[in-house]
Amino acid sequence: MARYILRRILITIPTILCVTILVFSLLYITPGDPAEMILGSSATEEELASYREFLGVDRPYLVQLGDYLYRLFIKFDLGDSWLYASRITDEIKNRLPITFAISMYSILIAVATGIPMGVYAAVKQNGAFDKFVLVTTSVLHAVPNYVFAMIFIMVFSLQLNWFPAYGIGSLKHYVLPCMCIFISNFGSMARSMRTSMLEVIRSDYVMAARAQGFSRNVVYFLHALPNAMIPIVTQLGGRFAGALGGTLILETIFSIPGMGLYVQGAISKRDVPVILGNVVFMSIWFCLIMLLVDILYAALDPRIKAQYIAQSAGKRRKRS
Amino acid sequence: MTELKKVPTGGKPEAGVREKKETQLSMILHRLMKNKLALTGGIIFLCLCLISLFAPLIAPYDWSAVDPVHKLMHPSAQHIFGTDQFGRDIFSRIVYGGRYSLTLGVASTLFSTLLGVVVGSIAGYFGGAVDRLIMRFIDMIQCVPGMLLTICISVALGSGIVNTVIAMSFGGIWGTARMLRGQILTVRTSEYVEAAKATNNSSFRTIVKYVLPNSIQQTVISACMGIGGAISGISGLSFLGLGVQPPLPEWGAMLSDGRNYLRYYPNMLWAPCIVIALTILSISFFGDGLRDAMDPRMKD
Repeated sequence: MARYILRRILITIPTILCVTILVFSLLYITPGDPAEMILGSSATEEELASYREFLGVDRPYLVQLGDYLYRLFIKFDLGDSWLYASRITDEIKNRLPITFAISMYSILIAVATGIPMGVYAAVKQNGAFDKFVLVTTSVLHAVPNYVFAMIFIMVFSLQLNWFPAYGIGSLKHYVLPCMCIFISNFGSMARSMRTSMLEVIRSDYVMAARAQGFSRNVVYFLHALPNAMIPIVTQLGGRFAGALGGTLILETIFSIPGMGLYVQGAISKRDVPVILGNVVFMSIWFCLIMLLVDILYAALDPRIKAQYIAQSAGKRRKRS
Repeated sequence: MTELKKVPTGGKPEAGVREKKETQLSMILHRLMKNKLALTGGIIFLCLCLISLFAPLIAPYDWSAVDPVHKLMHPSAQHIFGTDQFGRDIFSRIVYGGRYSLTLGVASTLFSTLLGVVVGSIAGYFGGAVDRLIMRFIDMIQCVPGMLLTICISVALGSGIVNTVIAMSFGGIWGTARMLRGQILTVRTSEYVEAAKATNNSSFRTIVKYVLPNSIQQTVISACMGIGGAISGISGLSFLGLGVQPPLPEWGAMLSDGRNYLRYYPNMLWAPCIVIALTILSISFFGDGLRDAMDPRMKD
C-alpha cells in the first residue's frame, strides 16, 4: 500500500511539471506585443523596448520558461499581471474561496439528490418515475448551464424579483449560480448512477443472490449498491477536481468576483500571465485532488490494490 | 457485435456474409425507429440543419442588414423574434447562425474523432513503449480542465472560425483516443487479427480493415453525442469573446451580445437560448437512442 502511494506521488510530480510547461508553451505563442498593447500605439520604439525589458518578454523562450518554473515551484509565486499591480497569487488567494464555495455546495447537493434518484430509477426500471428521471436528467444534462443562467436571471431575478442577479454578498446571491451548477451536475450524476446500478442489477452475482432467496431490498442495497457506486466515486473525484474550471462562464454572467471572472477579464484584455497563472493553478489543483482520490480509492477498494500488486509482479517477472 | 466479428475472418466477404451485415444495420435502424424520443430528436436536428442550409430562402431579412429606425423592437408580424440593438432581424440572424454553430460543432467533432481514432489505434494496436508514451501524454493533457485547455488554445491562436475549430477539437482528441484504445485492447489478441497479421497484411491495413470495424462502435456513438457538447462549447467560447466574433450571427455570440440588454430587452436572449437548448437536446436524445439501438444487450 505504501509503495502504491509512493509510486502514485512520484508519477504526479513530473505530470505537474509537464502540464505547466505545456500550458506555458501554448500561451507563449499568443500573438501580439504586450508592450504595445499596454502603452498604446503612440509609444516610441524606445519606450516599447524598455517596457518589454521590464516585463521580461524580450528574453528567449527557455529563459522565460526556466524563470517561470523557478518562481512557481521554488517560491510559489504565479507571477505578476501585465495590467494590474496586484500579484496573481494574492488575487487567487482572495478569489478561490468564492469559487470553491459555489462549486462545492452545488456538487454536494447534486450528489445528495442525484444518487438516490438514480438508484430508485434503476430499481424501478421502465416505471413512470424512471421515465420521468430519464427525460428530466437528459434535459438538465444536455442544455449548457449558461443557458439556464440566462433563463433564471430573466425569470427569478427580473420578473419575480426573488433573487439578486449580480454580485456576491448575502446567502441569496449564491442561490442562482449554485442552482445552475447544481443542475448540470445533477443531470449527469443521476444518469450515470442509474446506468451503473442497472448494469450491476443485471449481473450474475445479483441474480444468484436473488435466487438464494434474499429479499430484493437486501440484495439491491447491500450487494448491488456498493459495487454500483465504484464508477460513480471515480466520476465524482474528477468532478471535484475539475470544479474550479467549470464556473468560468457562470461567474461572468452573475458577476461573481471569483477565479472565473478573473480569467474572463484577463481573456478580454489579453493579460496572458493571469490566464497562465489561473490555468496552471487549476491544473495543479486537479492533479493533487486526483492523487488524493486515487489514494483514498485504493484504500477503499481492495481490487485496485490487488491489480497493482499483480501489475508489479508481472513487471518483475518480465525483467528476470 | 457477433455478426460483425464474423465478417473479416476470411479474405473476401462473401455475398451471404454481406447480407448479414445489412441485417444488423437494418436491425439498428428498426430499433431506432421504435424509439420515439430518439426519432423526434433526429428529425428536429435534421430540420435545424435543413433550415440553416436553406437559410436564404427562409430568412425574411439579410442577417447583417442594419435598420436604426427599427432597433430593439418587440416581436411583431414583420419581425417574429423582434430586432436587436442595430435593428437587425433576430429571426434571420438565428436562421443564418445555424450555419456557423452547426457547422463548427460538427466539424470540430469530426476532426477530434478522426485524430482520436488515429492516436487511439496507434496506442492500442502497437502497445508497448509507444502505448505507454501516448497514454502518459494523454494523462498529462487531461489534467488541464477541458474548457480551460480550449480557452488557452483559443487565446494562443486568436479568434476566427478555423482557429475555433482547432481549439475545440484539440480537447476532444484524448478522450476518444483513450476509449478506442481500451476497445482495441479487447480485440487485439483475437484470432482474426492474428490471422490478418499472419497473411502478410500491413499494420495499416490490419487496423483499418480488421481491428477498427470491430472496436469503433462506441467511438461512433460518443462522437454522435459529442456534437452537442461541441456546439455548447463553441457557443461558450463565443460568449466569452473568443471563438466567433460578434458581427457574425453565431448563437453564442448572439447570447453574449444580448447580455447587455438583459434587463430591459430580454427578447434578444430568449431566441438564442431556446435554439441552443433545442439543438443540443435533439442531438442528445438521438445519441441516447442510437446507443440503445446499438447495444447488443437491448436485442429482443
